[in-house]
Amino acid sequence: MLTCNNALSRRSFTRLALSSLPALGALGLAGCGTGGDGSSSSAGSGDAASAAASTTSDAEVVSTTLFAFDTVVQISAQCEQALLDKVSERCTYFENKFSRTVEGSDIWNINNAHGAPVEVCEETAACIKAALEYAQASGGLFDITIGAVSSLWDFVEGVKPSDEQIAAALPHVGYGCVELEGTTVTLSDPDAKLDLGGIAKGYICDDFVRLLREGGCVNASLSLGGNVYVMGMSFDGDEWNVGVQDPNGEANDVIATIPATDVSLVTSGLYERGFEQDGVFYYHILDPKTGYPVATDLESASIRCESSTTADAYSTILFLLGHDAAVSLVESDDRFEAVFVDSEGNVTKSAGSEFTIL
Amino acid sequence: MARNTSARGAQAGGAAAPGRKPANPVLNAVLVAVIVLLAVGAFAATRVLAGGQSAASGAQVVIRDADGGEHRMSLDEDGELTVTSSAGTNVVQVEGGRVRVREADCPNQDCVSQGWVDDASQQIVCLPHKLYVSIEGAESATGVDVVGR
Repeated sequence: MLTCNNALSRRSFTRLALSSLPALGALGLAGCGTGGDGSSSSAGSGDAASAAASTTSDAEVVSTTLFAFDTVVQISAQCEQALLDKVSERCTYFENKFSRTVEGSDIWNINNAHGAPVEVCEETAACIKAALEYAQASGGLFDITIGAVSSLWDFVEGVKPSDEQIAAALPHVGYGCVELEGTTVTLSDPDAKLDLGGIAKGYICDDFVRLLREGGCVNASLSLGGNVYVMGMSFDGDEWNVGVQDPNGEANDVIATIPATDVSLVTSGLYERGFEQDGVFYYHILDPKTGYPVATDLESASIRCESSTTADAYSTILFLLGHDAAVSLVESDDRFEAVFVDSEGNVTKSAGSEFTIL
Repeated sequence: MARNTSARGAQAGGAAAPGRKPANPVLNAVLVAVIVLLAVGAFAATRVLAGGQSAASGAQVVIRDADGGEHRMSLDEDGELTVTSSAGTNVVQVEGGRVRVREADCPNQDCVSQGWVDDASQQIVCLPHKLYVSIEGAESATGVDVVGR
């Protein structure tokens, strides 16, 4: 045994050790308390509509993922499951009103009426009204009568119409032929066709946000095929951090981010849809003046705006304007902030915007 | 505190200092053993807890298909799952804490070209097959909540 000059007896030692336990215990619990709660995340586990606990206001977070409007819709919200179910049902409602291909939808009815007046629902009328305003504001760059041409292309199957077919359809593109009175729509050109593809997701997104707000929901994140709206605060209690997809990276690479609350971010990108034929790549964004995919120096344009309807329409307009004119437009309009990626991969943001380019 | 004189301390088993009980080597050994056990136990506990809070551990890949079916894979274990629904077939692969759709019989192969994902804010979608692959149970390491595309 070693020599100990100031040895404790075993009893004293044990007494000291035991009496220090409560203090250690208190420290340990305090440590676990702050460390353990750091990992609360939003969407829960389990089925498509599930709940997770541990959010800032301790309210349930419900989520849903469904396929509609030719894309995937993802919504996470701090609200009752019943409210989210209402939103899911509203998805189906809009499919049956806005779709160009669903027989009996408002748009299908208009496109097959050969110029006769067609009664539509309030939402279709409101969407068309907004679309006509944007057509006027953009000098026809945004035009929902692109349908006569867009119906000839199929960017999923890779179908390109002949030059003759496009030439024959082009005279029927022109928003001036759309007459809207209340909820009655008449196309004065019987061969004209409507296509709400450039505005539908934005309009529907705004509608869902309104529905959620009316139901008392404050915090939510919505993405309709990448058409994003974030309400309130993220479920961790800070501002939502919204990313912008890198058009030249893999599908989940992010090129810029922006803090956001109660605002929409809509991106138009060449990469979204297109096909190659005989060595030429045809992108899904058509120029209403030519009937062909737009010739532009932009790869993607992301616009931030309080109205998702406006953001959706303008994301197309910016694309058609090309880089410099698009930057000018955004900088001169208080409603917008934007970030652009041009065909050389340069990333720019509008002056004074809150985007962070990564 | 009583002091042992060196002569007394040198005796194995130790004679007790004046006024103290006789030293008991067995109880001493027990006390030491208890301390050692507590130390080892605490160390083991920190290993387990640390493992539980790492980014990948416990994270799951959730795959939802066209027929409303849900399939799960652990993001921590390499493996493959072939998901067949009425819409078609996709082969989902997990390797090194990442997941991708390795192959599929859809026309455009968009799901395959979306590549690897490893973060809770990312997902892979096969539109024609209405297939949705996401990661749950892990915090988003990128800090991005949602991506506009």
